[in-house]
Amino acid sequence: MSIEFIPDTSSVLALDIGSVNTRAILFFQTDDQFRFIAQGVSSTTLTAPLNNISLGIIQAITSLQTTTGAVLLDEKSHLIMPGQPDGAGVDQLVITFSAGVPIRIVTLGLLRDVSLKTANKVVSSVSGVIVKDISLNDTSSFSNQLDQIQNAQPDLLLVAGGIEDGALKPMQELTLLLKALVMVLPKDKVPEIIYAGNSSLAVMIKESLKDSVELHVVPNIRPEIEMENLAPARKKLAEIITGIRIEQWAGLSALSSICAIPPAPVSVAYGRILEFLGKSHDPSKGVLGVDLGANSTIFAASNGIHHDLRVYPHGMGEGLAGWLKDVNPEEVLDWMPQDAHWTELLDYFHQKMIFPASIPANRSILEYEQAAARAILRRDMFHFLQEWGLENIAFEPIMVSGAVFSNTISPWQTLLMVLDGLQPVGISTIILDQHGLTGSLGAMAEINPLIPVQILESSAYIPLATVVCPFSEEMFGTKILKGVLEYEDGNYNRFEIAQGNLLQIPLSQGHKANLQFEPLRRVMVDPVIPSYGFKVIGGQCGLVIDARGRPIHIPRDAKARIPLLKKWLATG
Amino acid sequence: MTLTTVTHTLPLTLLRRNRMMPYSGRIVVHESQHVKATDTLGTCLLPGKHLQIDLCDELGVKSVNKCMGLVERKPGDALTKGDVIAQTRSMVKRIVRAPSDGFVIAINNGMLLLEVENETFELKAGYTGIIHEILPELGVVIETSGALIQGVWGNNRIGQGILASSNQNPMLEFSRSSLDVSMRGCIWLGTYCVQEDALIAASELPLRGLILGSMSAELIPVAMHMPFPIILLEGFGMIALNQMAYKLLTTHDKREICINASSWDKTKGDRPEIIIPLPTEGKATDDVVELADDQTIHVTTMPYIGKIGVIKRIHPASDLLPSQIRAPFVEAQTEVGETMNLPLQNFEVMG
Repeated sequence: MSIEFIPDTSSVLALDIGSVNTRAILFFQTDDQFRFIAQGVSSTTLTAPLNNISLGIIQAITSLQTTTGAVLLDEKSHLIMPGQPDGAGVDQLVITFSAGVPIRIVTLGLLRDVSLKTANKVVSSVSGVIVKDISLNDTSSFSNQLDQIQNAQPDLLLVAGGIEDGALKPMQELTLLLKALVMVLPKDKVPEIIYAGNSSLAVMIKESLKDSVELHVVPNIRPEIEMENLAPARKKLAEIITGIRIEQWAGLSALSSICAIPPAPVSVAYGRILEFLGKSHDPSKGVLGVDLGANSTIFAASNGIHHDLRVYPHGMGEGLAGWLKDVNPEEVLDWMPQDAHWTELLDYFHQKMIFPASIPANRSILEYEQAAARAILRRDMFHFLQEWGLENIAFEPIMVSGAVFSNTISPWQTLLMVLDGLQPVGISTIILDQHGLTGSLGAMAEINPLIPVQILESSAYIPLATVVCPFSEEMFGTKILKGVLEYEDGNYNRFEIAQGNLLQIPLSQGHKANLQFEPLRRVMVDPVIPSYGFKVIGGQCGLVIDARGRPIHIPRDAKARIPLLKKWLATG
Repeated sequence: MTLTTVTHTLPLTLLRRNRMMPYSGRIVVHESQHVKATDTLGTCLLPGKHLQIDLCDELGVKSVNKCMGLVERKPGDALTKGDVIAQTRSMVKRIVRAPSDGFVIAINNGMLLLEVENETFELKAGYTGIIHEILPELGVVIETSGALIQGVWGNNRIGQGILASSNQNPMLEFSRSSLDVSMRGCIWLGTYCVQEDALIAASELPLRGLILGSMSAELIPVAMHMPFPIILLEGFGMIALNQMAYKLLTTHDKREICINASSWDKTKGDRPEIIIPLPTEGKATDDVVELADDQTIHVTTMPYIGKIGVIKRIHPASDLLPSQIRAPFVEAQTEVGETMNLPLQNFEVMG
């Protein structure tokens, strides 16, 4: 693909440094309209022997240059900034990252179910690992708590506790603990500390720790017993993680100095876009975004008022380790459309952890990975919905990204993985972010909020289907709904749906139609919209009715399971 | 231009490896000193446990100021069990003694913080070679010449011993019956292992080390508890040793070898590896090369896992793989003339 570069236009280069791949993504503005142009991909060169992200970035940009014909690097492989009159270079640069050994975080709070819970929630917005969480009200002694923190070898401490105007004494004990910690640790191992507790104590803590540690004070994350204030602490946490990465990674410091905004953890940028989408969509339903990466999985949702962002340490590469720790083999084998033994899958997953960049080279391996993806999504969705805390769990739209979704045989295979893994309810549009742009858009929103608006509406995001997931407790095979789909050209498609069935109805991508149901039994089409008539838009897989029930029941016996899974795969 | 890292299976090379301690400590070797794999290079104290002593309470003194005046130690003092920390000056003395060996960390407001039970960490050489450089208080750089075979997984142990590889069928499973008493104290070259009993038999003999092509992932917890190093050259499953490594290792049968079965730390670059020290001086080789035709490669994932081939052609543009996924790939040929189409991510370049 070669593009024509028009002078006097604006361009943005987004770099995303992932644990496996580094991507260079080019956006271009013509006639006030931003467009996604292309992306170049290279292996991330953070690890030994290179230990410098620059080479991976140069390779990714070089690949982008080859694809587009754009000139972005000069003869010394330096990024040309700002854009030149002849079209060379880019005007702005943003960076997101998810690579690197997870930051080790210890959370300290007063009460386990109050401030500590909130502190852990703050940490779950980034791909850090809580190596220890300590409640001062636990029974362990002062010295034992000190040992626990020391042994956890944290990079960062998040300290919370005490509501505003609450009692100070218990929190003063915490000050002593921090002071002792700074004394027992070697200077180069003293972690940075975020204090997000009762603000009356902030000065005292700062005073007692003096210059021995960098203390970052943010507003109380639990100012009242029933109120959380997560945003400032999350922002500070992201800033500190960026700072740690700049110190750890050769090459990032120089690049960050020419960035339009400081580099950001990809999860934070991803969450920002979902918050934005939540404000512009139907507030009665939330929007949901899921990014299944190599190291971790991001879940973000928003209904305009209530936002949540979680990073689970489960992924399709090294993130398999976290997931395998407590996986039940049946969670995976249930989704295998072939007769497979758990030992074979386990061997494959451990090999994949060693070589996370490897690509499924044949069908059976692809099925291993897709079964794992379903199981990871299933488990993380379950936890996310519990943490989401709202009664309404119907989302519109649902946006997914990750190599496991993009590297499939067909859009139907991708869609089925999403339906099996997330098991949405009601009516949703499933959108595939096939290039994994969402995180970068979140970063770009900081410099120009128009960019994400325009890109999200572009063809870079593929609507896979409008899916209808009715809920009924009728027996398998019982007809529960009659439906008619009225196309724009006046044609009709009539159909019946039996409990347990999965049905694909042709509806061209982007075409609108009226969908009318007639219930034959007790059935709820959508938990939020009390109606049987809907306007729907077609996706790559048309319109899909998923009446398989929630949760989807899979027979344990391979003789029954395999034909059923194959039938579902052949539906689209 | 596609740069790729190199996995080494070399008959002779010169290598330098950093050996580092987790905390500052004392290095006990000197530059140019010859060391064996099991030699200690340095020691450091690992963080111990902490004890908080309420001195006011122990001394029966209410005033913190008075209490502080009775303390006979200061931060940083080393204490032996029973040493006096503080005592009253009354007729009937109350004495606070050190409950065990340790260090005074802090004394504040009548509270004393002690660090006790520090364990000593010993940094082992891991390689037979010469100390090339001392990194003061932290570690050393060892230099050695010899054959080098890098693996993909290790059980975090280091060992040295005589390699026993004769009469091994490279396709035969390693089991209890593979072992006999003549192998006691040897490093055994096996193929693949799927039985826990085989590992237990190896520890009972005992072996000094075990080199395998692969192992069932279910055996990881058992392998981690084995007292000898276990290194996997291919990974997990039932995969025999690749021919290149097999030929090189069997050439050195009955020779003393070192196994550093560390876990693969991709950030630091520490990788499980086998070194066969040789008297001839080798040359250092590149760790990164540009992907090119005629390079020897080693397949790291199914379905060709463990096979060695030579790149015949690189296809930089994405094309359809048997999985129906599109990706750039190389066309490679095995020793027996079999053609493999491999995505760029599914092999390592050997060198």
